This record gives sequence, C-alpha cells and structure tokens, in this order.
Amino acid sequence: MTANQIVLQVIRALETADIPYMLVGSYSSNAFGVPRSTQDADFIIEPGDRSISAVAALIGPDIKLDPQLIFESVTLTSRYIATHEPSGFRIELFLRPDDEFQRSRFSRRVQKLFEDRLIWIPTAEDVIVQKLRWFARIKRSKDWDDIRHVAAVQQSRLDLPYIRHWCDQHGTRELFEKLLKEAEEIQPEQES
Amino acid sequence: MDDIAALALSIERDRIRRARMRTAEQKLLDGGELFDDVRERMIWGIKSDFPGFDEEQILKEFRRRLALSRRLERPR
Repeated sequence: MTANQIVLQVIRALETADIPYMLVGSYSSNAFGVPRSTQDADFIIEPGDRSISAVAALIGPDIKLDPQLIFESVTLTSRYIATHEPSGFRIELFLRPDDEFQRSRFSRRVQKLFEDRLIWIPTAEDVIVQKLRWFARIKRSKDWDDIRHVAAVQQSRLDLPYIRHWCDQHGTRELFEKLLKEAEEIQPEQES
Repeated sequence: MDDIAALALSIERDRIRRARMRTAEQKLLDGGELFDDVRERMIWGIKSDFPGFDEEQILKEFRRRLALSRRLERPR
C-alpha cells in the first residue's frame, strides 16, 4: 500500500463516519508551493459527538489507530495517531482547536482532486497564516521554507489583506512581511 | 554574491518556476510518492549495511531509523 493510498483510506473512513476534515501540514503546503517528502499526513477533524472508534474500525487492519487522545504541550494541540505498520507511514488526526482563526480556516477549506477523489484542504492563505503561527512558536526551518515557497509560487494570487488581518491578530505581521521579501527574492528572473 | 550563493539562488528560482508549471492536484500527490521513494532507498541501505538481515529485521531497523528521524523533527 502506498502512502497516498493510506491517505485515501483514512479520508474514506472519515467520510463514511461523517466526520468533517481537511488535509493540512506538508500535503497542503505541497499543493500550493514546492513539494517535499513527508513522513506523515496531518488532518484537522471536527468529530463533534461522533466517536473516533468508528474511524478506527473503518480504516482497515493494516492501519492501527490509537484511541488515546494525545495532548501536545508545545503546540497546544490534541491529536490521535494512526500508523500503517508495514510502511511506517503515519496519520495524525488533530482536533480542530476552538479559536476564531481555526474556525475561519476550517470554514474556508477548498476541494481538490486527490487521485480520483475530491478532498478538502485549506486555502493557500490559511496555509501561510497557520504555518507562520507555528514558526513563531517552534522555529522549525522547514515550516519557514514551506510558506516561503507557497508565497513565491502563488505570488499575486494571494489575498494579502486577509493574511495581514490574521497575522496582526497572531502577532506575526513582522514575520509575514519578512516572508514576502524573501519570496520576492526567489522569483524566477523573467517574472520578477 | 559569491558563486555558491548565486548557484543556490538559481536552483531555488528553478524550483519555483517548475512548481508553477504543475497543478495543485499533481503536487498534492508528491509528498506521499516521495515518502514511498525514500522508504525504498532506506530499505536498500539497510540491506546493504546488514546483508544477513531477514525481512523482519530489515523492517525493524527501518522503523527504528524512521522513529529517530521523527524525534529529530518533533517540536521542542
């Protein structure tokens, strides 16, 4: 089973269990930026009052979902982890945090074709706002590279007032302006 | 700008140009496909490092290396 088949299997399980989701993390930054390898697929889910055990039962015997919810104190997120034992590929299902931006990001999610199925991912703007937030907190260089590439690839298509609005709320406006400058520097010459 | 910096900038600009030529749908698939490719190469590496390993030992060593890589990436 390939990594993308595992992702599709989880999406089918979430849809069958009627749990709204979006595929985030490097999968979404790959879609709008410059693709890189990833060891896992991250989802934001809104299970509401539905039990996660329904998903565990639907994803098949090779993908083991740990029913224990894990709280990550550095990022203040709660998540379930599922692992496809034969390949080592991992799925992380994050509960949608209950703040204004996360509600907005989830409500603005868009559909893209993945293999032969329409799936939900965040918008390019929301990828940038969220990864900037993470970068401000945990300073992982790959997050910075991901969004610098999203900004450079998307360029004029980005809704800058929207991004600036949320960056002002999150205290990341200065970082965002620095990001735009760096994205401008890596524009292909004939287009800059 | 020195030669190395100029080369790095040129490579990065080329990556941006290539990424613009592909659709979001195509690029959505890349992360998983690259993982499959990296996994295959890691398995080859382990087979080369430990020619006497059986399949189970190879997978165990692969999972150990993957876990180490994840630990290094984890937020601290």
